[in-house]
Amino acid sequence: MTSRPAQIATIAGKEIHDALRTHVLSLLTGFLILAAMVSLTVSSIALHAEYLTYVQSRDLLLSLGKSINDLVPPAFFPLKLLRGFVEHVEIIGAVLGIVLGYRAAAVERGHSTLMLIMTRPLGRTAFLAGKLAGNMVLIVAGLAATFALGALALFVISGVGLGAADLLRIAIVFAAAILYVGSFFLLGFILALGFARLPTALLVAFAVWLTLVLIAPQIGDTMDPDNQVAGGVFRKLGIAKPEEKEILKSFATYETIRDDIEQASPAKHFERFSFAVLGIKDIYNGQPLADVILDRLADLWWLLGIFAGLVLYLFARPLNIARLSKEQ
Amino acid sequence: MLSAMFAARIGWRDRTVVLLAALFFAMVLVSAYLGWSATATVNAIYAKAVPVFQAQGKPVPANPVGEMPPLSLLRNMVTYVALLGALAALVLGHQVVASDRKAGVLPLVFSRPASRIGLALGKIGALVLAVVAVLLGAGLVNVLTMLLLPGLALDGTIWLGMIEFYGVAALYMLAFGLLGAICATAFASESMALLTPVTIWLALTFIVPQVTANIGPMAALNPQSVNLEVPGGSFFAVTSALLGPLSIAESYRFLSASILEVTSGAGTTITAGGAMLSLVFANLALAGALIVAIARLDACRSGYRD
Repeated sequence: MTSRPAQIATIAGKEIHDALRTHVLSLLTGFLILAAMVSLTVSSIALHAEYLTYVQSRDLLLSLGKSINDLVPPAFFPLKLLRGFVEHVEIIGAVLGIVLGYRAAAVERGHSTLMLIMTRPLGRTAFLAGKLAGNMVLIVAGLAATFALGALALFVISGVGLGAADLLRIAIVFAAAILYVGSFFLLGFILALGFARLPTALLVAFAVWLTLVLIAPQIGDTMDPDNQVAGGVFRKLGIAKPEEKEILKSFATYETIRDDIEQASPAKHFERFSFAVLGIKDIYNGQPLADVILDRLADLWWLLGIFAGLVLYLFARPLNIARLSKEQ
Repeated sequence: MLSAMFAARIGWRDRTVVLLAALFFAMVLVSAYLGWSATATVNAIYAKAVPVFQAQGKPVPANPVGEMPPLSLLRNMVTYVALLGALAALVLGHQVVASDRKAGVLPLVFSRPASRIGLALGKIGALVLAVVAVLLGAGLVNVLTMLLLPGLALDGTIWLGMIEFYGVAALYMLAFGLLGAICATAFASESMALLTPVTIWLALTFIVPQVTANIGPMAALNPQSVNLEVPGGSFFAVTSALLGPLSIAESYRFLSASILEVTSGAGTTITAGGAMLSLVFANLALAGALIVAIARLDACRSGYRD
């Protein structure tokens, strides 16, 4: 009888082989890479256009003999160009995870091989662990290709060499992305193993994705008191920052509810953590990495907690093989 | 007509379609709440600010709520139609074709003395019926919200604006419904038939606006993004000229944001006529493509491979 690690490795190997044979994985990974590259290129072109506008304004002021003291030159931080890149990982990476999770269950159910596999001397835990390990390898490989190409493109586009500190920041965001995309893989896998009808499982997974990744952050953003009026309500009323803070104290409960809605979204945790580590959020720009991570540790714990919770649920949940073998 | 009613019934019998439609209606209610919340919050902030102004001896400015156009309360609907509405329409479009292919009834249908063009027109009719039904329900919720909110000056232009918004939303959703139906007809694999239109939807919603106007993926969800200034330079001038007419997500966002008065008109090169032309042309082209796809479908291999 084969040892359990060997069984897990065999299932994982089969999973990788199966996934590579389908066009779905290459289509979505390619799409994620394309979106990330487009985002980086466009961001750098926009920054270049902003710089040219600054140069034109500066030259005009100088030719008129006026002071350029009030003209703020556009700041250049290479890692800030990764904003759109991170947002694409947030949106498309989650779709990649769901589709991989769905495929991992659907391929056995659709081909009625689940029952056949379970007739072998293979435990349920080994089967699920093999599936999880194989797909995590695929996720890590897909994200590694995306982040490596992103870092390379950042160097080529910006013309600024990335130092070890920059690469370390990108590597930390890469690790957070593995947890984030891995959580959506688990969601797709658990749902595809739980629902009687596979298409329903896929659609429920997409509904959860829409709600958690796109709608919850949008609701949180919309509920921001300062976002209710174009240009900001406080600016519109001409209220200074100290008074604004004083007034907002009366909205503490409202702000808590708003923050809780945003906290419900794993995408928001991934975004907040990544934007802080990469210095995209201004208050973290130029701050020591250790301080930034310490400040955003809660977001990292959330990502870890969601991933670990879903792994635990996957293994704790009973698997009704007979029911799942009957594709409906 | 019979084909349209039959296809519509199949679509609605599918639980996944009903699930997405239910989620869409839930978000319509959320949108109504957010509309109410926006007014209530600004009113509360204003009430807190007045004593501050008085204590400082400054003149008290007008309440910004008075400057908020009534239709802007529905601004979140722009996002929910673009997300849930489009996705529900896409799945609905998929189902009206895929259900026939999976049931294996197409060889029988094609053996009857009925034209394939008639069948395709029936499918399009079913999609139009379903999209209009979903939006009528959503519109009814919005009408009730507007009537229940106190202090809104409602006149004919408001109701006309709502009809215009839902007309634009219907065109946008229908385009994705047709795309879902085309892919469900043309692909041999059902998973690819579902994933390909979802990928196209992702590209149109999140990637193209970035290429044409430097609007980031998350910012693309905000109807206010039509006010963002497009960076200067030849790149964006070329991309917006080339891709702009194909970017139905931007056309929809511009038209709906303009109707709901959440745009200042700044920062965009799109015109209302151009945006409407883009949406209408997309629907006509997709309807034509669906007719061609159904006409070319091999009746003997009409089932899915997976």
